Amino acid sequence: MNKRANIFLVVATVGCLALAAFQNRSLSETRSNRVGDLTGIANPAPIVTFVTVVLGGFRGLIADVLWLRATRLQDEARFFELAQLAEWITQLEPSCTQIWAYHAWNMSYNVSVMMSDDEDRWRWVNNGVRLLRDKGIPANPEDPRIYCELGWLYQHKIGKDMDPAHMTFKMKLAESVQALLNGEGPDYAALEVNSKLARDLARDFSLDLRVMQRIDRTYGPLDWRLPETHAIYWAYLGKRRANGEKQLPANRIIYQGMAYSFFLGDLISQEGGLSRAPRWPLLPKVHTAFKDALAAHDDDENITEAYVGFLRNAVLVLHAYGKEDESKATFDTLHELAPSTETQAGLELFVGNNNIRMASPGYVREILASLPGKVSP
Amino acid sequence: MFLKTLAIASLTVRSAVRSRLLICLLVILFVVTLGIPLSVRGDGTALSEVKILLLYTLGTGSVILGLATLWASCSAVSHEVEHKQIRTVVVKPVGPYLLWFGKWIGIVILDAVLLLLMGLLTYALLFMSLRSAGSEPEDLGTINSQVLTARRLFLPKEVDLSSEVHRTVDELKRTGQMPEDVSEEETMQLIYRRLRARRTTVAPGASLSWEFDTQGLNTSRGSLFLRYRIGSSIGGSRQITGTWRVDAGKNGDSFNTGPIPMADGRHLIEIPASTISPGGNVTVRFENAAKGSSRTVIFHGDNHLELLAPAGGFLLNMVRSLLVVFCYLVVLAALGVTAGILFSFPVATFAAFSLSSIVLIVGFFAFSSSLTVCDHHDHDHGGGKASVMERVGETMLEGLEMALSPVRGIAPLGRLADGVYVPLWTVVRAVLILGVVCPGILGLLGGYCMSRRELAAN
Repeated sequence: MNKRANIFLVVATVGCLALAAFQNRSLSETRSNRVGDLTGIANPAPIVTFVTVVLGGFRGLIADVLWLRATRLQDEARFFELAQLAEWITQLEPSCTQIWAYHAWNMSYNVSVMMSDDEDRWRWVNNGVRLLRDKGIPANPEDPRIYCELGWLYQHKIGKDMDPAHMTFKMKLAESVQALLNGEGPDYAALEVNSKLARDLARDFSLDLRVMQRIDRTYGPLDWRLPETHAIYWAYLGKRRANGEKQLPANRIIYQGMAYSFFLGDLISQEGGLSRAPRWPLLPKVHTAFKDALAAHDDDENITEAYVGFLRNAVLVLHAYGKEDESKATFDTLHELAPSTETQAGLELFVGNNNIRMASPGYVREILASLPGKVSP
Repeated sequence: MFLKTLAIASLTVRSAVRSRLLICLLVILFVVTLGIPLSVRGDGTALSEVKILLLYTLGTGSVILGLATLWASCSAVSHEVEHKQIRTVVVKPVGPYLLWFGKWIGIVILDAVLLLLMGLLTYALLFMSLRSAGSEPEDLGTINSQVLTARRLFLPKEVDLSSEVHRTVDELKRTGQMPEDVSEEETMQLIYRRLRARRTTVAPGASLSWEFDTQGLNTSRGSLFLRYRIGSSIGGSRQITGTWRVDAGKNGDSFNTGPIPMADGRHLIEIPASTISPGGNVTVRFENAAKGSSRTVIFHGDNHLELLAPAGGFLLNMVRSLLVVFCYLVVLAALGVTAGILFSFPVATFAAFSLSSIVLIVGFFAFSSSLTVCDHHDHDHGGGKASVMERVGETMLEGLEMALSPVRGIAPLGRLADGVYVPLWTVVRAVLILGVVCPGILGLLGGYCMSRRELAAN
């Protein structure tokens, strides 16, 4: 090829690039108007930019191949590659929250239950949590759904007792937080935002000390060794990114987490491990959480029902622990919110008619039954 | 003839090494080999890290080498034809078949060197990562016994169900219970599936036995492992309790695990070598605990029970695996050289890549089509029938799958990462099919086409 032709080709290339750059802005605007922002964020993570821009249309094809492999391996109960495949698949479709949620849920729920050993189960639950917390949220920081998905994993998978290994999950989480905090929560007054602890919390749990402080001020003091507190943290962040009805999932996690934290929010060290007890100072904060949710969602029937359920149980528990004043005040709130023949009969009759066996859910029965002189449920 | 071949081969290697794209691919190959161990992660265990390192490094490296091979081999002849350099060769006393062979050998030598380098690098990285990771002794023990080994895989003897199927069909006919809307062949298939399902399901309180022929087993290399895959009647439940018994009859000790709790999934049990005696039959029995403490157990998949016995070292297994990978590269080189003779360079690369892709994905489509055919059966004979086009497509896929099955069925890297022995027979088969027969056919085709082509034209 002669020299002239080479020069022409170089000039043509530069010209084409300039033309492409010139059209880029209008093309981006057209794309945003028609299909929305591909990344959904102002400053996407480098990996998001890489897969959306460099791989172009091929990323769908690559994602399909990885999906097929992941499905086949899971069918064959070969799990060792799944965490890596899930990470790649989600990074190929970084702005699709459902894909992040699916893979996190798949690892935490489907794969974990395939493990006989509790430690193995915890590893897979944690793999799901880490995928959302460490990769999914940085890739979609403005999507409230992904925060709620993470909150749900903390609240349901780790916090509830659906999994036979749930105590291991709780212990592992409590131990890892305890190792950093050396107690139930940070001493905000003594800490700076850039302290080593703040950096460790961000590194190990993606927790921001300032947000923790705000949450403790609004809903706490909470015990950060408990999964419910982490659920509330992530739901709180999700709620701040949502409007109107889109706040509902976050509000649910918050009031459910608060209710649970009230009944079982005090971790007590004792021989043979940790036990849990009611955290009395949280009572007014639980009322606030429910009332905020009711106000935000036009007195939603389900939230009212959940609040009534909480109040009924709270009356029983407070009464059983001899906290007469708080029990009476809670009972009055219950009567005001959902008056019935039962509440019209007065506190003593209400408590007498609602014995331990009728209390629900199970953990409330356990709290009541654990008191001396009570009948085992 | 040898010198002529060598001359053509060395020219081919030189020309390939000069190709910029090939150099780029090779740089990527080394970056990938070094970078994968740093970037991929397993499920959090040291065992999975090692498996992934082996599988992903060698797998990705093989794919890149495959691409480089196709590129270099396609250009080996087509570029020479395009740039008219071939004229200087064909006027010499070099026959078309020898020319094809020389070009092919050149690419094969290049592949051999690169694959050897990749293998050495991976092997070194593997042991360096094991040393630097500071793994727990327990983890190292698991890695040594499950990955850095070569375990021979024994499957249970197939139970012949045909007589039972025929007996059941005869019984149905005798009692007039044969379904009228289903053919006899389909009825027999359904009965066969039901009987097979019974061979994989164990109710609480019941038991199930399998027999293994342990011919060729060597017990001097250490403990054996029983690997099984189960599920419970209620998914995700951990309420399965069962006892495994291994009995080698008069020839060995018997072994039992005692009642052990299990979850859905894959499990591994270590069996003392003294339990098994080579050359005999071994009976493995699963006894499900009584109702109340266990649930119905389902053994999943075709390979739901495997007996793994140490049969050799990791290094030799890796060599055998890489030999099979090398055979794949050999056949790709043959395909590329032939395509380069038949077509111009762009068309040759497109054709060679397409053909290789078809070979890779045909199994998946054939499998999907077989599922579709199953779905077409419907008792009402209404809708859902496959169109003529669909049937033709399915037949073509099945034919292609059958023709390619000898080539596709040899996948050594998964076995290597799983610590499973790559049998010598697999290597011999790969050498024969991929290293001799396929290149032979392609070479004959390439040589014939070259002899018919007017290379000195234009």
